[in-house]
Amino acid sequence: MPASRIVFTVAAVVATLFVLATAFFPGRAAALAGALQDGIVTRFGWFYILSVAIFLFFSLWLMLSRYGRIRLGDDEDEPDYGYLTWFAMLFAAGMGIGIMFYGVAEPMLHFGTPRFSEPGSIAAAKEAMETTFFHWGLHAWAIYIVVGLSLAYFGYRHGLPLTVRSTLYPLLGERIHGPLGHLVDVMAVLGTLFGIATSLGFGVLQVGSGLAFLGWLPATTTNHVLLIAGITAVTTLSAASGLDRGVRRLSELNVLLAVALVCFVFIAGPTVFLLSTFVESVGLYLQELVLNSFRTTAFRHAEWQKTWTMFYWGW
Amino acid sequence: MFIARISRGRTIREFIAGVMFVPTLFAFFWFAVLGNTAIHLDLFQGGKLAAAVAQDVPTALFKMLESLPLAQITTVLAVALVATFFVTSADSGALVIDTIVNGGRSDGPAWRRAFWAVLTGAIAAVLLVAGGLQGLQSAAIATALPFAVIMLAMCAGLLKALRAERDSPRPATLAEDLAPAGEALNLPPHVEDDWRARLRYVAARGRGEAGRGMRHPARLALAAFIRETVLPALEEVAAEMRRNGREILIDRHPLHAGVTVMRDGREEFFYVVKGRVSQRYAATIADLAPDEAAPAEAEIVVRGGHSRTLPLETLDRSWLLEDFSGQYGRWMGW
Repeated sequence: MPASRIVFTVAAVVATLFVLATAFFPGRAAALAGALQDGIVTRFGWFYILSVAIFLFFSLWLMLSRYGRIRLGDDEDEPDYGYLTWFAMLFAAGMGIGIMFYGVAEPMLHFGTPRFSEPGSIAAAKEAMETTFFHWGLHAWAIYIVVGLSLAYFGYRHGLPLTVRSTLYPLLGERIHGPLGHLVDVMAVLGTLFGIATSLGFGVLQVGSGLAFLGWLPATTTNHVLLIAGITAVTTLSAASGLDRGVRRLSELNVLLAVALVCFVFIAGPTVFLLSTFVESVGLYLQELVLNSFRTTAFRHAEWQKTWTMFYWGW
Repeated sequence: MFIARISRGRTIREFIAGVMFVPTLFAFFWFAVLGNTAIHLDLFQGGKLAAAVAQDVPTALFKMLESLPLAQITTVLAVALVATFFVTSADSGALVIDTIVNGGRSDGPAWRRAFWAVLTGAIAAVLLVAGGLQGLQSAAIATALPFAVIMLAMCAGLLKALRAERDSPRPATLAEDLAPAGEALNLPPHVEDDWRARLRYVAARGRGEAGRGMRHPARLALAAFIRETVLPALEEVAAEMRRNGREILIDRHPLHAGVTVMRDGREEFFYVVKGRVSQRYAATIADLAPDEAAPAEAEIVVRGGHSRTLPLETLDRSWLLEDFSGQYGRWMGW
C-alpha cells in the first residue's frame, strides 16, 4: 500500500492549522481548551471510565480464554525475541517522560489533597499510593494492549498493513482502503501527535524546572519554548540526516539511567519503609481495583477526576 | 506500536500477560520508591514537600532528590535523563506517525519523519504558551475521545476475527474467515464444490500467493533454505542411517526441520535446524531493525550439545552432513 497522500495531507494540515491558530490567538485558544475539557469530562466522563474498564476486562478475559493460544503470526512462527529480551523491551516501554514527571509529584499531590482521608496523614499516604498505582497500573496498560494486540494480530497473522485501519477489517471489510479508513488513520495520527506533544510539554517543564533548581536557567515560558525548539532541532537533525545511530544508543542509555536512578533512591532512601509500603500498596491497589474502575464521581469529586483520571486515560 | 512490533510470534496469552504485568510491576516499583521516599520525608522527617509540590509541580522530583546524598549529581542526571527521554520520545513518535501514514511500513523518507518531529514540538510549544499544564491536559483529553470510539471498534473487530478463526475448518486468509459462507477462494469453480477436490488441489500446489505471514523476506529466505538445503541433506542422512540399521523420523516445517534417530524403538539422537530471524534488543521503536533488514540465521539444536546459531551462508549441504556425523559421534561417546 503506497504512502497515503490523503492521510498525510489531512493530518498535516489540521495539525498545522491548530498550531497557527493557537499561536496567534492564545487567549481564545486557552478559553476554548478549558471549555472543551470541562464539556467532555462532564458529558463523556462516564464514557471514558467505562471504555477503559471494558478494555481491562476484555484483555483479562482474552488472556484466559481459548483464544489465548492463537499466535501473533503464523502458527509455526517462533517469537522474534527471546523471553528475557522481550521482557527487557517491555520494561523500556514502560519508561518515559510521564513517570519522570509524575514519579514523585503524583504521590505527593495525592498525599497533600487526598480524596477520602486527612491530608498529610498515614491514611493519606496509603491512599496516595493506591491512587497512583491505579493510574499507572493495569488499566493504563490495558489501553496499550488493545491497540498493540489489534495491530499485531492483523499485521502479523493476517498480513494486513501495520496500521490502525487494518484493525477494523472485520467490521469494514475492503472499505478500510476507502475514506473511512483514511479517517481512522488521520484520527490515529492526530491522537499520537497530541499525545506525544503532551509528553514533550511535560518533559520541557521538568527540564526547565530542573535547570532552575540547579540555578542554571530561570524557568520562564520563553525559556521553555526555547528548550523545546532546541531539543526538537537536535531530534530533527538526527532523524533527517540519518544520524539516528547515535539516537539509538541513547534510548538504551535512558533505560539504564532510569533503572539506576530508582535503585539509587531505593538504596539511599528509607529502604525498609519502601519495601514494606511497596508490598502493602500493591495489596491496596488490588483491593480497590474494581471500585476504582467504575467510579465516575457522579456524586462528588468531579473536579478531581477531571484533573487526574480523565487526563491519564486520554493521554 | 512498539509493543506490537516486538511481539511478533507471541501467543495472545503471552502478549497480554507480558504487556499487562511486566511494565506494571516496574511502574509500581518506580512510584512506590520515588513517592514513598518523598512521603517519608513529610511524615517522619518533618519535610514540607507536599506544600511545595502543590505550588510548583515539576520540582517534586528534585526536592526529593535534594534530601538524599549526592544531590547535585543526581539532579543533573535526572535533568539529563528527561532531556534524553524527550529526544527518544520525539524520535519514536515521529516514526510511529510516519508508519501509520506510510501504510504500515517504517521505511518512510527522513524528511517526513523530521516533519512530524517538528510538528510535535510546535504543538507542545503553542500549548504551553497558551495554556500551560492545563492546556496540555485539555488537548490530551480532547483528542482521545474519538480514538476511544475507534478502540471500542477494535475490540469488536478483534472478537469477530478471533471467533471466525476458530470456526473456519482450516486456516485461511482473512477475507475468507470473515466472508459469508460461499464466497470463493481463488480456486477454479469445479474444485470449489467438493472438499476433497479442494484439498487435493491445494495440497498438490503447495502455498498459494495469499500465504500470510510469509511475506517477510527473511522468512522467505529461511523457508527456501530449509526446503532446498536442509531437507535434502537430512534425507541423505536418513538414507545413510537406515543403511546402518536405524529408524529415522524426519520432522518438516516451513521454517525448521530435523531428524530423530531411533534405535529399537527408543530415541537415540536428534538433530534439528531451526530457522530464526535474528533480532537485537531495542529500547524504542526507532531502534528496531526495519522488518525488511533483519537477517536470517539458523539455530542448530542437537541432543546433548549446546545450541549454536549460525548465519545461513555457512550452512551448505556438505557442512550439514559433516556436522551431523560429528555431532552424532560426539553424542555416542566418541
